[in-house]
Amino acid sequence: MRVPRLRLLRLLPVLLAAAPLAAQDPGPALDAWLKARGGAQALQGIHTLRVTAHLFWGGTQIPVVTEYKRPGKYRQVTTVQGLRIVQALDGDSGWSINPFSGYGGFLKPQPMSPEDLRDAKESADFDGPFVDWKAKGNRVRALGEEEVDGSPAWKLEATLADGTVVTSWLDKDSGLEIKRVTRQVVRGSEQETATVLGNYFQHGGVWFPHLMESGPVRSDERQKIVVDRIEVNPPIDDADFRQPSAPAAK
Amino acid sequence: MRTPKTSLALALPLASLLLAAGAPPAPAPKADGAALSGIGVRNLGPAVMGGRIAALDGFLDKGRVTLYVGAAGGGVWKTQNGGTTFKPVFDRHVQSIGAIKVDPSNPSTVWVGTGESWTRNSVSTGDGIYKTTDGGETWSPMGLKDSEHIAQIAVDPKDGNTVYAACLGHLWSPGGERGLYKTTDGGRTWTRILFVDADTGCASIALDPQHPGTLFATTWQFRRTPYSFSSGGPGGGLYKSTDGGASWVKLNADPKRGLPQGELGRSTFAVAPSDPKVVYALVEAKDGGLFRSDDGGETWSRRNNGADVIIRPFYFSALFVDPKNPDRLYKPGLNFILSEDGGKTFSVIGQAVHSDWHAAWIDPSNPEHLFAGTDGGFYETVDRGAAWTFHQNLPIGQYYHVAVDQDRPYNLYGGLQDNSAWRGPSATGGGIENRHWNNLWGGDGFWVQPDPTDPAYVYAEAQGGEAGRINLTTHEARSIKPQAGAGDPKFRWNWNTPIQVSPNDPKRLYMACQFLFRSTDHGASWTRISPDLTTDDKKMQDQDNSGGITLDNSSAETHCAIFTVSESPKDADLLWAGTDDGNLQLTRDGGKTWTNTTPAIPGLPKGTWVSWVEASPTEAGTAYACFDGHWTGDMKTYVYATTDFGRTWRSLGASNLEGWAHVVKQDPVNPDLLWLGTERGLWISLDRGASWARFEAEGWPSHVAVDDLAFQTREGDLAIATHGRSLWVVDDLAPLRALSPAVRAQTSALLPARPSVRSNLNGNGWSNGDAQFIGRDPKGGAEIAYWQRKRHIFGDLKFEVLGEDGKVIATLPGAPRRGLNRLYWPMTLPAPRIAKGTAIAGGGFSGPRALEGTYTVRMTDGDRVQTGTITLVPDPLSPHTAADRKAQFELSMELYRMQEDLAYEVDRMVDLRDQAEARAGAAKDPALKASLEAFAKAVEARRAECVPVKTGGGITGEEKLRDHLATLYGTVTGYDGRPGPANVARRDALKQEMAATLDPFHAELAAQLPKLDAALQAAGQAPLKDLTRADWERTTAPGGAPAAKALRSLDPDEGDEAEGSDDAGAPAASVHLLPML
Repeated sequence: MRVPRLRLLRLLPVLLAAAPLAAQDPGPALDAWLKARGGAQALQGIHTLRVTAHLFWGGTQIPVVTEYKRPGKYRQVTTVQGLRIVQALDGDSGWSINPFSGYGGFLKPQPMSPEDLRDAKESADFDGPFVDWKAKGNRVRALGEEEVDGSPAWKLEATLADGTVVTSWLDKDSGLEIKRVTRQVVRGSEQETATVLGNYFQHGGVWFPHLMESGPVRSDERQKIVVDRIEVNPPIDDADFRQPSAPAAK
Repeated sequence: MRTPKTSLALALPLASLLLAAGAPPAPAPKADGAALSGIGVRNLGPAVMGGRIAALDGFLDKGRVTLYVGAAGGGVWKTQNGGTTFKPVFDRHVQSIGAIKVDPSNPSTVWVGTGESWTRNSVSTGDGIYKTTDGGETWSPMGLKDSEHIAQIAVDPKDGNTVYAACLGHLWSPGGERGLYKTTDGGRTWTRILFVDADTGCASIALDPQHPGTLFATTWQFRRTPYSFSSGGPGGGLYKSTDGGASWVKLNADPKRGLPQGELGRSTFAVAPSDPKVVYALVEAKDGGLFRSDDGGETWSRRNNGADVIIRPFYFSALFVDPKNPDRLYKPGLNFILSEDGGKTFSVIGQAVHSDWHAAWIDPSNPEHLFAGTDGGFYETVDRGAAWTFHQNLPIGQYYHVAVDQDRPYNLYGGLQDNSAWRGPSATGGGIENRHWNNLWGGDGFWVQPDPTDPAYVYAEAQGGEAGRINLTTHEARSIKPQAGAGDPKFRWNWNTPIQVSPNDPKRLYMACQFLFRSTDHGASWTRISPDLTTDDKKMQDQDNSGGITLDNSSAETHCAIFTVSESPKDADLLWAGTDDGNLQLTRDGGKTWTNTTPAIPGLPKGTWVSWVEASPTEAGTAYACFDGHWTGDMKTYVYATTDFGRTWRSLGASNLEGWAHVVKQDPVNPDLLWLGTERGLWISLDRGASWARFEAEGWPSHVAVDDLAFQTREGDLAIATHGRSLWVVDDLAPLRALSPAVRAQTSALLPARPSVRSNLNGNGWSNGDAQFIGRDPKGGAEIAYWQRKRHIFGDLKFEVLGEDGKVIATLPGAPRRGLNRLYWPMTLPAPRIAKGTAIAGGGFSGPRALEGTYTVRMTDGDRVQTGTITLVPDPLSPHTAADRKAQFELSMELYRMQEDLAYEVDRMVDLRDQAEARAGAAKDPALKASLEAFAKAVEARRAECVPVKTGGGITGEEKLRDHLATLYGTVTGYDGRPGPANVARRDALKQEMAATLDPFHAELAAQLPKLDAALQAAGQAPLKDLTRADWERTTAPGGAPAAKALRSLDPDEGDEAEGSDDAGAPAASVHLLPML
């Protein structure tokens, strides 16, 4: 039985990459975005977050739960027939448990590959690349206006310190992000992912997308994730992000 | 409501589907391309035969080869792995590529000159020069919009802002931006630094890499007409500059230099990178050939004038010098030839490669390693050309036409520029691979028509009307080209000769030269049914002397011929015939009398090539026609309609249209819906041509040349032939056909879709690595189509599928896109809950297939709720009966329930075990502690009978009751027929096994739980809580364990206890299956 690899790490976090908290970028698009999301105060008030979602995979739906905690903590659990894929970041170190990874990986935490660690760190920054971008070493530029499927949008680009390039399209009517393309270099090769965002709901004064469709750029083949629930500032222990010792088998 | 229909159902009338929820009336929004393009499109390829590569450049990055491949009509493709995979990077721009140059000092900057420079009859045009500074992600137009064809680009290796562009200018008329242009500010401004006259362009630019101010350039006088080509004239010249183009020396002006004198044709220079004093010149002249200079271009000597060197200069004027060896050079041509002695002698390399070479790139670190582009695609050699790998992963075929048959799945047929005629399937169930395509004929390919009287045969042709009838099994072919009789004038067959099958009588076949022929015996004999329908202008019939300095008469310029034919589906005696010299003729009596209707067409220049005529499928007096003036430099889009048998014509040429017109077709179902293919894209009209929207679906190259369209009327599909990006299909036009102004005015609306086939296609795909191009199948599942006036931003947009009992059996998220959208229900019920173990149960990932019938769809858009229906129909290819499928469904559901029963019992065991262990750990009474531990151990033993419990690795080989159930379930659900006796017997056996495990478990619980609970209560501890089925169903969902509860635990068995209670429950969008079972 071949089990497809679920590359989830970078799917959910796009709903969190939000608006600037400080006025580093004077662009009207970022200002409008910040206002549309709920404002700086509401965003700054988020310390922890839990997102319960499910992704559509063929004829079934797979639960995915993601937790975030400032600063830089991230944990995502995907459950398939009761088996859990865990990907987590405790600040600097990342680890994962993948029961589908074959010999030796079963239930034993493994350190993340450099590429996955980079993904995890980018995901854990749930403010997104446009917030405090100078302090993070990112470069941000406005690329003018461009339609997304006929909807007028502002186009922004952030080049992260690690080389990842994130291009975002902000709906001109609502100010909210409706599309994102992430371009990375993985072992010397470019990889691109496009994500369409929609179905915004407000939680804790902040608007979050509840629909994310991700897939290759220049294709309408996309994997859908639907958010079922968002909890703002739930209690989450720091220990949950730390790499555990291998559990005893039962 | 689900009804037990088994027959193929027609799509329900729109009125029954559109149950608007009282939206206020609003004007219909403009039917712009973005709104309509949500209907989507899929690329079938093929990539098996490639297409013409016109330009190529690349660079090395840490040992990896990055290349930009420019196709003649297929845009720019980038590979970062030496051709293993490609991605198109120029899809929102003109697709005809003339030149590519990577900035040597900054490879993130790449220049693309549009407009191919290999000026054959079918060449397209560009709209200037483009630049990317981010490795091809985004491109900016940098001017020279009127250059039409850019032959070469050179970038100063020491200053990336200094760039030279060799612009040919207009091919079919004087003028345009011709000559050599230079920018020193990165393309913001350009200065023409070499110019001769309005008929002469610049054909090449080369610079000395060590002294970039030293330039070599050639000028070329040329002209193409619909009926001739001319290469050469007094404008031709060979030039050198040593001051960056500020001043020039015409090298061929002084006979002492050793270069040809007199009129020159197309010529080119190449400087040896390893020794720039060595310069080569390939010169078209009466005494032309290959010349070499060893003093930086001051003096020259002829090295070679063999046939392979001087062949067809307008098509093969290029040289490539080895980066390390100045004496080694390559010359593309009909063959690829290599010289190791500075051009004195040449060897042919690449015998197994498609002929007609144009471009090459030599690995500067290893000159044994080359890439090359031909008329037939992209090749690589690692041994200096001794052997070549064909990279069959670029879908850049230049189709002239497409046709479809009535097979299931239907096949597509078509002919391609220099790449024969091919047949391939519209679907395979596993992706359309190169191996699925079959070569039918030879030469350049054009019309291919399946024989409707016998699916074993097909009509195909090569250039100049060389047609045949081919047996698809044996590939035996019989030539059917009509032959001249005694005293007949010479037949003039257009390069792209029409072959048509009557829509009224499948035995009736048409072919045409200047006369129209009809056959009713598969082309074995022909009846001439027209006089010469052309102008028969002798001035346009001198192809024997075409070519200019180098004679070139390949039949590509044959003129004064019929180019397009259409018999009215409403009247078999009504025939239209359009000629390449501007006559649009009509007969209404089967060919006895003909009338030229062109004089009645307003605004059409006399003599404009009739590129298409199409009789309306619904009205005899209505026809649509396209005209192509680019052959004389007129690039307007000419589209017309008549509704009175050609007496009057109305222009449909809206101002936003772009590109000369190739094909216009009326939709066979909705006469308001028109499709138009031009040299710059595909266009849709919802109002009979009053306005047009550019088709710009995701993945579709929006400016590609669309040469032909074909409707597969049974499926409601549209097949698209592009001249540069192979074949595409728009599946199921039903939603688009329903987009009336009233529908578009609604806030949102469900749209009709064709009945969805419960397809059993299985393509048996295989892992062939990444280097394969795989064309896309139709999207699987039942189609749900809808319209929304604005992009959906806030709140839910969801679609629910309801069973006959009104229960929701599936919930799907809608896409936010403005305009037309489609989504697909997989036609399965949700997957069952599977008992949790230490490995997955592969058979349990899918739900049972929904039976055929009509299902209700409920669309919820915020507060707006609408309902419609979708219809599932059986696969006509399936041998199974409705009763078979019902039996399969019923057994599937029984096994489904058994799996869920077991899943519940296993969760119950885990829960009790963990509670018992926890209480044992807290117990102070040794006897109670021992009883609890014994109970936990016994429960765990029962669990181990149900599910895998080993944790040693991913493949333990452990198969338990759960796995046996899932395997049987997968077997039954995976086969659409009646389950066999073995399946039923296995079901019975597994029932017994379940009982053998669960009955004792239940008995143990009945015996032990009261005792343990009493003891626990006596000790002051909480009793064990037995998980009820109701609680279990409330807190779990098909397809996986409760996600929130699973969050904390690493072990699949620890999740519930570790997390404690959580109110997340089942996902809000989950389905509720059990109530309907």
